Amino acid sequence: MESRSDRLRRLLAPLHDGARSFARGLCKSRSDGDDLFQEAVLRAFDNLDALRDDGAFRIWLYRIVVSVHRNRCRSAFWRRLVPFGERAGDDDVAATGGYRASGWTPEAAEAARRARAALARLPAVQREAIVLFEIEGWRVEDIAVLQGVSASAIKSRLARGRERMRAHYEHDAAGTPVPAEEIT
Amino acid sequence: MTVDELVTTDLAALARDNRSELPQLVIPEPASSAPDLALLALSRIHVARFVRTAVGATAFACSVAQLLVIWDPVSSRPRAYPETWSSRLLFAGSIGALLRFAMVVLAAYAVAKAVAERRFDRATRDGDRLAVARARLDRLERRAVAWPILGITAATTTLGVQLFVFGDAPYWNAPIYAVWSPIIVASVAHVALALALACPATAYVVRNEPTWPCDGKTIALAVIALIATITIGLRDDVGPLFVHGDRWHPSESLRLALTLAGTAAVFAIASAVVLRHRRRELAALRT
Repeated sequence: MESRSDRLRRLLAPLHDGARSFARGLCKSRSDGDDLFQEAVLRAFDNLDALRDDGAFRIWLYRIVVSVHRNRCRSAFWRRLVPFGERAGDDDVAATGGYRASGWTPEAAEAARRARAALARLPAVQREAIVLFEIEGWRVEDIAVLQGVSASAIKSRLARGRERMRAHYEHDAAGTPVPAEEIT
Repeated sequence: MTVDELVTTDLAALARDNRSELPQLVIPEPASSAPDLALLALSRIHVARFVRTAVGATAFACSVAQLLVIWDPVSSRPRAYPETWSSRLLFAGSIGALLRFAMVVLAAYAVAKAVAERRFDRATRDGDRLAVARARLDRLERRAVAWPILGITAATTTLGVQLFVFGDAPYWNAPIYAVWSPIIVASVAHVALALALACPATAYVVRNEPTWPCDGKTIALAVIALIATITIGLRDDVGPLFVHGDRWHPSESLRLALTLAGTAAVFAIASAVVLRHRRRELAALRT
């Protein structure tokens, strides 16, 4: 009989890259995204027996990622109490030496950093919608199923998220801080 | 290039970035060779469940104790509100003792939580660690649901009984009502504690979510309940809580100071242990 680990490995292998990329897109840094993904995998492992239909694994896994992400957003206040020295320079390292080692140009690294900073300003639901639609190439209908809302609500989230990102870029270019009402 | 185009370009760069340098997938293994990662995650679940159980039991115990204070075993009826000022002081004194008892229980649960983490770490260090961890979780599972529900039921029932028994008594009129405000505030604090537990328990039952970020919330509510209790004790208009006879007594002040200092120290130590554990855990998750 197939063990739970083997089953999870079989189901997860084709989705690994996409799901990890999605998790990274939701977080402020790639390492945070990897943490988020690994936590979601652990939760998936724990609950795998409850999943009856293997065909539903993709949406089930992404729901777990979203759930873990939202829980983390909610508990963010407590994370500030923990002084992580290694957290601060995470993106900076990636934006310089790390990218050069992988053949990235500083411009590309800067572009990714800008996008990540703008995404971090969005509410969780808009961020999820933007990452899935713009980066992962999901259809609006699929995102609607994942987030449990109508397709028109997703379109609205995408439009508002895009608008907020635009505003962030404009303020960033002008060198002015983003007004509080534009940050959620 | 317009801002919109720039956003699109940057998102494309982010997409490439997210797909680059993908680390190898780590799947938990059921054997003793399981990575510490799985064990650490289980440890966190264990602690969350332990806290739910402990705080639920605390709320339950406090509620029962409060009912015992209200109930008069001699006449087998709820205690009537004391008629004379001296008997009021006596009665308020027993409430003060109960509040101190609540503080001690809260402190004890903070210590127990820290100890539970240590024991879990030690017990799962050797042998088939993941199996041991899972067995421990399974044993704790039912209690983690039952106690919070018992806690909230008992706390709300206590509050209801108090309001029913004393609701139309003349002491609602100022300033005597102030003597009773500690009971009501303490009840609300207990309800808050129970709610902190009931929410994760409900989520656990309804949504089958094994993990829930309740550690911080639980500790916060415990601290709020503690502060509320202390504040009540320090208020001048409810002075009888910590007075001896009809005025403050040095020994009472000393006892209060020692209680506060001890409780604060216990919370500080417990918080430090919890935070250090979490930091270590997250650091391990990163490697």
